[in-house]
Amino acid sequence: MSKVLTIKYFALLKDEAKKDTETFSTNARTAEELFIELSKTYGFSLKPEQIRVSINDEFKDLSEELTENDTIVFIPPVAGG
Amino acid sequence: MFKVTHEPINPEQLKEQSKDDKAGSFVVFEGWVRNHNEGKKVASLEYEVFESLALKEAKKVIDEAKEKFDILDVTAVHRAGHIAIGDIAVWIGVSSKHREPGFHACKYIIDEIKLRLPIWKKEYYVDGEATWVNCQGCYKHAHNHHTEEQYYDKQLRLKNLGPEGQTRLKNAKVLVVGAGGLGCPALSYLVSAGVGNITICDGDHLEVSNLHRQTLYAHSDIGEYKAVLAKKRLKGLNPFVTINAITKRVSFDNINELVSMHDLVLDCTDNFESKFLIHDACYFLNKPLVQASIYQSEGQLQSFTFKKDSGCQRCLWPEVPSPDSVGNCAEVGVIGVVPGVLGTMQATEALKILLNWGSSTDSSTLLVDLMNWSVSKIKRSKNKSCPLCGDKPKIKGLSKNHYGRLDFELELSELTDEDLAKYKFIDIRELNEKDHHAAWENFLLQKPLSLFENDFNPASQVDPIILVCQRGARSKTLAQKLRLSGATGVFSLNRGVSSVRENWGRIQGAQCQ
Ligand SMILES: [Zn+2]
Repeated sequence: MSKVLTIKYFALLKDEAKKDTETFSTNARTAEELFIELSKTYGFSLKPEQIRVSINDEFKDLSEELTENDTIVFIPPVAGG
Repeated sequence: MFKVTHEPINPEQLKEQSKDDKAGSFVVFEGWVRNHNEGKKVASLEYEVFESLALKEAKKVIDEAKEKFDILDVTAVHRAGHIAIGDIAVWIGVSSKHREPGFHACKYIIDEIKLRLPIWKKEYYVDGEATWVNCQGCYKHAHNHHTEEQYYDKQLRLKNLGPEGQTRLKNAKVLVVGAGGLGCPALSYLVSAGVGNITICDGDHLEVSNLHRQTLYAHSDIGEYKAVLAKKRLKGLNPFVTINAITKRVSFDNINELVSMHDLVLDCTDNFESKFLIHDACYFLNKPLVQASIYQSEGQLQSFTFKKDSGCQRCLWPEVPSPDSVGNCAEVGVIGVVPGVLGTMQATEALKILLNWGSSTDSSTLLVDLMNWSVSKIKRSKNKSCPLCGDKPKIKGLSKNHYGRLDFELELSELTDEDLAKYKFIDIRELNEKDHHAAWENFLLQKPLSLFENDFNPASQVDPIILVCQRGARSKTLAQKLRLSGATGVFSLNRGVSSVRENWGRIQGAQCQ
């Protein structure tokens, strides 16, 4: 079943998506499926295992299931100083 | 050597005294009495020198110069008494092997002498008047008139800080790793808040491209160690704190000692290897850590107090991410205010922890984007399968295997049997070093170092290889060299053949399957 999510992008992913936030309708079941779906659209250079995901302001496993109105944040590692 | 003289300075004689066959360069500075100052015609000068203090301070300046720069010797003389236009007021000669450090040292010495020595100057003008112009060393005495209570007055008024909090800060020992974009603002605020003992650890020299974001430094500082520069600048900011400069990078060899000597650590570095190394050391030594990283207009801030339920760095990132998973600011570019804001936030968190106000980032990660002012606070939970703090930790102590670029040095006891089976062992010792009897020795492929470099082709090497020498030093150097020339699966065995001997049973078992 399709659900509507708010998605935020950080760092490299923000550069590649060319946006910092969007509302997105998807059939993806898990965060990982969602990321793979978005990768096809935006050509993300990072693989799912190279990023972390937050669902409703809490770090979760990529296998976590998504529900309507979730806020998803995809976060790549950052090391600059 | 420094002296004060009432006689005219004789440069020829001083130069003769400074002769040294080891020296390839001799840099001389002469300060002359000029005939005008701030629009007034000067007829002559009089210097009054507080001699015992001047001698002591000048000795310090010269010792500092010898420590900072690669020079051989210094001769310096300052005039006292009445002197005429055109006379030499001060003479400094620096001998060194090469000219570059000589120039730097000479400039350093005259700048510090002008600033720090208690010497008063009286100008006699052509119109007959005379005035005492300045006490060059006055700034040194100025702060003696102020008390620490006056310095911290505005924060002592805070009800939740007060004298007790101030004492807490004064007694605190804080390690700041990295004196760059994050470190500069973090250090400024920790020092001015009165954190009593601060160690700055940074092995880099100041470059011109640092200045747009590293606000403790001046354009004239380029080329010098940042840790030394920061210490000097910060001492001027707050004379009531003790600052220690370490001009080395953090490494596997020094991290434990550094962390264990402090109560709290700020990670202001810019690479994953250092971040994980510092984090893991703080975990094992149970020291709170405040860490920040930036990417363009964004920053991530997190603290680790390693309390029971909050996640550590490896709960989130079990392995050190590869450097190519994100750029650092040398490659990607950054606007100076971003580390400025994040470094200031690090100081804020550090003060909160030191003052027992509690840190709100020790169980969550703060994501900040200065471009759209979005702030997300994301809760970090403990991950039971964390390799560091989980139920069955794989990482039981600091080991070189766990830190990215350092990981070409291997310790056999830390490899699983499965991993062990993958490596090809190559003995690079020379023939005369071997005992030719031991079974394990016959098992190793033989390729003495003297033959190695000529016929090693990184492209033809398939299996990962472990280089073995007597103690692990030559193999480390060779592994490093081969990696630089493009080889990837090359490792060096820590402690060399004695490690093979100790682990022989396991190696044989793993490799003969
Ligand atoms: Zn953990």
